[in-house]
Amino acid sequence: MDPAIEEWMLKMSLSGGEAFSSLRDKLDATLTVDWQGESIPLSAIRSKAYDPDPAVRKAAYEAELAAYLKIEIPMAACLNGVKGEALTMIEAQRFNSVLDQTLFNANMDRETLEAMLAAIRESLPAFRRYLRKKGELLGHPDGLPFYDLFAPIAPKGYTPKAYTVEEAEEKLVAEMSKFSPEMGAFIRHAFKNRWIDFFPREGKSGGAFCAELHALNMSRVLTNFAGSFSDVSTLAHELGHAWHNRCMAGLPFAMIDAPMPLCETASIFNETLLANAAMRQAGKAERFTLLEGSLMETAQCIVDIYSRYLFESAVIEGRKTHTLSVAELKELMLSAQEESYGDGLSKDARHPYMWACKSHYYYPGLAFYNFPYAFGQLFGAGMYALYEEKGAAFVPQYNSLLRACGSDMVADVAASVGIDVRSVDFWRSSLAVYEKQIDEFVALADEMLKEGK
Amino acid sequence: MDYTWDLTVLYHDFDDPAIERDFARAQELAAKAQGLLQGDALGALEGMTDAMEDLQRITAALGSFASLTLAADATNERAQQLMDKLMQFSVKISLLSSAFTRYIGGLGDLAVLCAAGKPPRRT
Repeated sequence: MDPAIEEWMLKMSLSGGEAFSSLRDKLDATLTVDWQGESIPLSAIRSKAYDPDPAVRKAAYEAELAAYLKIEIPMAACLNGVKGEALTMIEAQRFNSVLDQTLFNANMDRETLEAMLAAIRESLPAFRRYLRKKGELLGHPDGLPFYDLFAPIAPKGYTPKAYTVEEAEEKLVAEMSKFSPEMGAFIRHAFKNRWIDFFPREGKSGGAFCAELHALNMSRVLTNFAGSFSDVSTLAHELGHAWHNRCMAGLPFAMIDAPMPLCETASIFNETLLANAAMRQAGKAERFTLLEGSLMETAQCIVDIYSRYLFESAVIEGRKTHTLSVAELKELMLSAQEESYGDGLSKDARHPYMWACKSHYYYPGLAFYNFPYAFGQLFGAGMYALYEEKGAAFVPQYNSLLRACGSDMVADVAASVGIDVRSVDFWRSSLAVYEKQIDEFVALADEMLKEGK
Repeated sequence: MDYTWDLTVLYHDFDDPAIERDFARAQELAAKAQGLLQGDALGALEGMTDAMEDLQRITAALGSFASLTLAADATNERAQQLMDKLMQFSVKISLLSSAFTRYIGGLGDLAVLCAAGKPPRRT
């Protein structure tokens, strides 16, 4: 960028893209939803998507959609503002497109992205089969409605185990120690030395994340632990990030900034370790529940992420010529969902406001914060496949790869363990793991339907 | 077992004098770094690399303390004030980082020149 204008562009961004992004977060945090005579926060209504009662899930979805009407105009202005600024920035930085800028910042080439997207497109029919079967189990023969994407399903009479923090610690230490005793000891250290903020409370942010304290060779993990297996898995995920940070100990700051696609490698790897261990030990009913949980999350990482990639591409293209209206944004979102979910999702119950729901579209200077999730999921699964093949000999290779994440191109980091991320076949092999899970899920679901469970 | 995280490894609290001291040190480093690219190339490279490393170490500690406090307590005004201050300061760091990147881009083949013990020549 021309140095003469750079300072002014950065300063103007504080009152431009940054301000729009901040406004978006405030709108999201302060929006209340009418729910059974009360006003409740948007986050509370969205969490009802996991409620065991189908009537609650459907009513919550309807209430959520109705609530967006109150903020759709300022939300659309924020999105137009952030994407408009992104287009101005790439012009000043002399990139051909916003995607080129994203790939440059992610140390990733277009060939890698295209290879991954091609494999994802090929896998969509399999994921739609999973979604339709889940719909069938829940009484929707024409595809799963959006409000039931996260519906919990378990065989009759089966109650999933609830974990205390202490039980989660023991499980994680035991499973991760099988991969590497050093990792097990590291997890124990994190639990014992107050690296983790476990429980939800007023004023604490939702979700989970891991923050690196590089100079201290430590991390901090925020989670909202409620005792489910999914919460234990979230801890495994975040402690995977912490392990990644540990592998980068002693490096200069300039070499620790892993590009977006590689950021999720260690987290997904840990999740996969835990899930596979749990599935090996589970009886039939628990295995079905674990499979469903795994596929529900993977479908988000693959199918929903692909819809977000399509939507963001269309918004940026449209924003080149005009300010997009609320109606256009809704239409583009429905169209992206149609292309990605296809007949897996009911035509009558999609989500036209997902562009208002997801904060990722509003990060200034960080466009397309979607495909890295799919990359992380599939690359992490590919790493796990290598571990299964090589056993303990893979551990030092894995740790070296994590250490190199911040100082090399994505394709070169992957090549250090023999993975060619520019090859569609690599992505196909990772997706095949989930396609196999879908086959098993469908077979077990058919048994349940036949037996009336 | 304590179920909350410990941030005192960063700063004791928002009255910790180390916060002001570190912020002042970061400003001082940024001001000094602006002049570093004027001297001989090897000295500039070394000086800027060290200065940027120090700047990142200090701002990472300040930023982590503010953002992690806010993540656990969104209403903490002291944390928000520190965050705002750091956001403003981040413009200076971005400019320094861009200037350094441009500077490196304008140098000849670093590996060859450094191996030969000659200071890199600007092209």
